[in-house]
Amino acid sequence: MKTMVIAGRVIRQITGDKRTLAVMLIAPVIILSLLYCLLAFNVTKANIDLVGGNRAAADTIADVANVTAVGNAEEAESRLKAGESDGYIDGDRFVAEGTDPAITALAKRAFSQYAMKQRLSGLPQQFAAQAGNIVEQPQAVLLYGGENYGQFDFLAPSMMGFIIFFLVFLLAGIAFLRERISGTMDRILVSSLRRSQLVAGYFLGFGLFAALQTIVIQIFLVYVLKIQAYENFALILVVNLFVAGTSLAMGTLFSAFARNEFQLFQFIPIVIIPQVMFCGLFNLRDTPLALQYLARIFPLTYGADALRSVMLRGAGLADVWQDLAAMFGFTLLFLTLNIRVLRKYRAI
Amino acid sequence: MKKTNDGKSEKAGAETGLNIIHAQDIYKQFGDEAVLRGIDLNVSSGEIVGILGPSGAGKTTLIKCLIGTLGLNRGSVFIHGVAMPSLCMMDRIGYMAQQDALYDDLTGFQNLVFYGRLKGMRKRAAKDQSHELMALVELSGDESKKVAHYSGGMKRRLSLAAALIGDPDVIVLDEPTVGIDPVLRELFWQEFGRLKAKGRAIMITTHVMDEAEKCDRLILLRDGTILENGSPERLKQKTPKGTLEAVFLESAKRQITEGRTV
Repeated sequence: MKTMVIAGRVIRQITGDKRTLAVMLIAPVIILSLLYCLLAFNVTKANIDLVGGNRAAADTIADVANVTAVGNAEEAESRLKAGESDGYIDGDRFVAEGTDPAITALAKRAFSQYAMKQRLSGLPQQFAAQAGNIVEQPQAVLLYGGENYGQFDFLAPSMMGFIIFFLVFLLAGIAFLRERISGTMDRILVSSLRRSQLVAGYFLGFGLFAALQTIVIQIFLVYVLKIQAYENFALILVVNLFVAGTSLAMGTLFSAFARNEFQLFQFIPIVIIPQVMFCGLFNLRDTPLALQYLARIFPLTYGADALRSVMLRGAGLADVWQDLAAMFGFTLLFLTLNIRVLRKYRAI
Repeated sequence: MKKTNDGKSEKAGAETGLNIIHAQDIYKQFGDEAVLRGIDLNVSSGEIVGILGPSGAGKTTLIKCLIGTLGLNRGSVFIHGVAMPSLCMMDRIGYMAQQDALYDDLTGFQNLVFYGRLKGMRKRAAKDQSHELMALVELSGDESKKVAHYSGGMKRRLSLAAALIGDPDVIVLDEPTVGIDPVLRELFWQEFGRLKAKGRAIMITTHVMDEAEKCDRLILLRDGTILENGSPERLKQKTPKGTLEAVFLESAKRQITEGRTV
């Protein structure tokens, strides 16, 4: 009963504070839109200069590069240095700018295609046709994803998990911290409220907004940004509630070790940023084993993994229960610690 | 005994003289520093006990130890004969801290209802009493205003109302009148008098001498020990000047001579 009183107050506070409500519901939409735009308009072709090249040669790489014909090597070199091109081809010499690995990879792809076509064109006609068949790329069949599946589709589940984790950590952490520094914690504990009821009340109150947040994000991803994903709304909601639960337990626990908001923010580089790195933005398969074990101590690793499985591979509850169990374990651990830390405010 | 809507026993009107708070040999230290060193005290129903002492004397620590929000290193506290901290006794304590301890983003009324509900009151009863208390502290017109828009004095009044919700029979007020004007102070003391008449056990920490005069009994705390414990009249007789201020200053002076910070 008293849990509901705490939950009701948390809900009333958030609904009464338009800014917090906006941060919870609108910020994710803005972040995801930005990411969507950045990835949708990502560079897909390198700008390659062709020194004294002919039109036919340029056409051979038109599908992988924007080709500009230049008069001589000096001009190509100066354009490269001025950032007007990403690389140039001068006979047998292939030069790329080299600072951005992604662009360099695109340039190299253009170079190899160009070289291949050049070599093929040097062969006698009957061999050229055969050789052409040999080097032709095979048609790959994709188990998941599809024709229009892009980088954003891959990142969206991880980002969704991260956004929910980060915002809940921050807002719940600050709310709990304020409870401590404004003296209300002392006052509410001069009642028969149990420490566990206080924490449970926070859980319910913030849980409601986390649920709302995940619904808003899902609707936005599916209907506005039209991501290529399996639309298992219910399971995604469940996974996100586990993510939010872990984050809430973590945020409220860490708030105990901060004397003010500034000190709480100091946890972000230690607690939040590593989670971004391990939440699936990078593939850890070939990283040292120590790093892979390190990733396992961060709850979001499991949350993002479950979200990717559900959204990208159409996994069901039976496939992600281990991730959910791991997050539940983290939540239980942090909650128990938090209830213990609250003994500082009242021994019973 | 008559039962109220909350299922609680309605408290006896002006039953006075019953020992409500009983503390025995309280010892509290933070790290290596001993803040309370063997405090014994009793507070009866219908009694206003003032805790007087220089800053750092341990007044707030003593109060928190009495209401059970700070654990003791030694000793024991009983409220109504029940060893503290006890969850069932917690609802019978009204506590006002030095901080206002209010939720800025809720209205004054919502704050009171919330604290009332935590004390185990039903929604209807909590709302009814919140209206009454808002009227008592002269905030009826500001019930639906967010506390963030309250002035300092208004917050103090609301904080007092929050301590009184649930009709507690032990009322513990930590410097309740700090930073408020004389008119408001008068209002507060009128209310304390009314609560005393209802048989409540009241503890107040204060720095203000004329407030101390209004207490039935004063406990002069210094360096974690009780220096004096008696009625204002009895304490005044102990100094040639015959004022409480002299009693206070003398004790502080003694502290300086002994090389301790005041």
